[in-house]
Amino acid sequence: MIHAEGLSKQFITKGQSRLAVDSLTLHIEQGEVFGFLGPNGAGKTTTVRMLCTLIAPSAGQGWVAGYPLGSQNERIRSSIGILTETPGLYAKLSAVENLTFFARLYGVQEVSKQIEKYLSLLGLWEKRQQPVGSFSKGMRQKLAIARALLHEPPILFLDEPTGGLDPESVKVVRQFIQQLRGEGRTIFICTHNLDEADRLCDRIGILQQRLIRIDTPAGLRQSLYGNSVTVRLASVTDKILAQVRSLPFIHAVQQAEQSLTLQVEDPPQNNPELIRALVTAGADIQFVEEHQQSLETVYFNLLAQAREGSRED
Amino acid sequence: MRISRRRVGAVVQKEWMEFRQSKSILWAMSVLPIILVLGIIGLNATLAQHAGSSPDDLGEIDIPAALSGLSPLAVFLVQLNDQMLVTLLTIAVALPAYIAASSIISEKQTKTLEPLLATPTSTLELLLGKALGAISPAVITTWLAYGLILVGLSVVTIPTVAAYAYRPAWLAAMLLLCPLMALLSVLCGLCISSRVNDPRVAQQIMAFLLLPLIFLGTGTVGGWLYISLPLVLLGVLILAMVDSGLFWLTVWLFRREVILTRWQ
Repeated sequence: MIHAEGLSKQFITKGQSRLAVDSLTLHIEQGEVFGFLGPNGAGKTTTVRMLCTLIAPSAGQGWVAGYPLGSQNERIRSSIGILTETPGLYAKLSAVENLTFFARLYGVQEVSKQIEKYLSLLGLWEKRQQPVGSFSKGMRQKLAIARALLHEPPILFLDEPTGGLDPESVKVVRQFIQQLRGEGRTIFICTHNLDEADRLCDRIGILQQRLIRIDTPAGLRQSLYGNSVTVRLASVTDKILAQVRSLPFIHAVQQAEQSLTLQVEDPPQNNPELIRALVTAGADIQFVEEHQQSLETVYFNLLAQAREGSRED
Repeated sequence: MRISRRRVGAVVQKEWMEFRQSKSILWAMSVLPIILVLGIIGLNATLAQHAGSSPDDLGEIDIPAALSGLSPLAVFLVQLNDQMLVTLLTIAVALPAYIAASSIISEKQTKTLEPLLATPTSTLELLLGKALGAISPAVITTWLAYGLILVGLSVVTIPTVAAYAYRPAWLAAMLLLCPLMALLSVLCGLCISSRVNDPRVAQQIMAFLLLPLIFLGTGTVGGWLYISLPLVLLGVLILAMVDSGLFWLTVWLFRREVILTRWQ
C-alpha cells in the first residue's frame, strides 16, 4: 500500500542546506496501522508531505496505493485522506459547508449522504449548521477527520490525531481509529504519544532524519534489550550468582537483597532453563516475575543511541 | 491538461460563501457603486437644468472632435459622465484586487491550504476557481451599477448626453474591458499573494493597478482623451494578451512546496 525506497528530502534555504529525511525505506501493508515516532524536527511531517505528494522528494522513490510519487500525484491524492497537524478548516463556514467543499473537490458522488454518515459517526450532526469558528478544538479535530474520510480513501495519514485534545475527545478519536482499522484501511499515524502508538499501531517506525528502527511495539521492546525477569529467592549465595552468570542467555544480573533482576534474551524460551539452573545451584525460588521495558524507555534509548551514532560519524 | 469544472466550481462557490460572511467585502461591493450611481445621476440632474445657458457660463473647455456638434454643456456632461464611468471601472480593479491579494495568504494563515492542496485539485483548477470567484462579484456589481446609471441618465439628463453613455465604446468597455481588467487585477493579486506573507503588502502593491485608470479619467475630464471604440478595442487586445501571459506566470509562480514549507 505504501512503499518508499531511499526517500530523502533536502531543503535549501538562503544557501543553507538541511537534510530533513535521509534515505527512508519502508513498506506498509494494506490494513496496517503504522505509527511514526520521532522528536520535533525528526522529519515526520516532511515524510507525510512527500507521501501525500505535497512536496517532492530530493531523492529516492515511493509508491502510494500502487501509484508512483511524482508521475501519478493526482491519483495518489484521490486515494488518500489526510489529517494535517492543525485541522485547517474554514472558520466562517459551517461544518456542512466545509465538508461539501472538500467532497466536491474529491469528486464524492453522494455528498449529503457521506456528510451525514461521518458527522453522525463523530457526534457532530447536531452542530452541522454552526460556523466552525464556534467549535471547540476537539470538535474541529473530529470534523477534520470526517473531511479526510468523505471520499472513503483506502489510506489515511493522521498527523497528531489526538494532539491537544481533552481525554474524552482522545478516547473518541482512538475508538474511531480502531473502527477504521477494522474496515481494512491502511493508517499512517504521526505521533509524539508513545502510549497511543503502543495501543493503536501494528508496527512502529522511529525516525530521526533516518529510520532508526521499525518493528511491532512488542518487538521493539524485545529486540533491543530482551526482557527483565525478577526472581525472589529464600537467600542469594555466591554459588547461585556464579551459576546464573554462566548462562549464555543472561545479559545482566542485578541483586537487591533476596531478589535477582536478570536481563534474559528470550524469556519464554530461556526461563525454564534458568529455573532449572537455579534449582541445581540450591536456590529456593519464592517468586518469578517478568518485566517488560516500556515503549518510552525503548524510544528514548534508541534516540540516544542514534544521537551518539551520529556524533561518532 | 484536463480541467475539472466540478472542482473549479467548488472553489468558486467556496470563495462566494466566504465573501458572504465578510462584512468588509460586502461593504466594498455596495458602497462605492451606490456613491457613483447617485453621484453621476445627481450631477446630470442638476446640470441638465442649465441646458439653455450660453456657452460663456461654463467657461472654456476642450472639445474632442467626436463631440464637436454638441453644445458646450452637453460636451461637459459627456466628459463628466465618461470620467465617472472610468471611475466605475475602478470597482472592477479594486474589489478583485482586495479579494485576490488576501486569497492565498489567508488560506495559508488559517492553515487551510495544506488540506486543500492534498486534494486532487490541480494548481490550474485552484487558481482558476479563485480567479473566477474574485472576478464575478466585481464584474456583476459593475454591470449592475452601469445598468442603473443608464436608466437614471435616460430619465434625468439631456437625451443626447444619455446616448453617449451607451455608445459602442462604453458597451465594449463594460462587456469586454471590465472583465479583462478584473482578471488582470486578480492575477496580479494571486501572483503577489503567492510570494508575500502579508495581505496588506499585496493590497498596497495592487494599488498601482489603479494608476492607468486615474490617467484615463484625468484625460477624459481634461478633454484631451476621448473614450472611442478603437481605443477600447486596443485596450481589450492588449489586456487579453497580458492576462493570458500573466495567468500562466501565476500558475508557474505558484509553487506548492515553497508555499507550504517556507511560509511559517
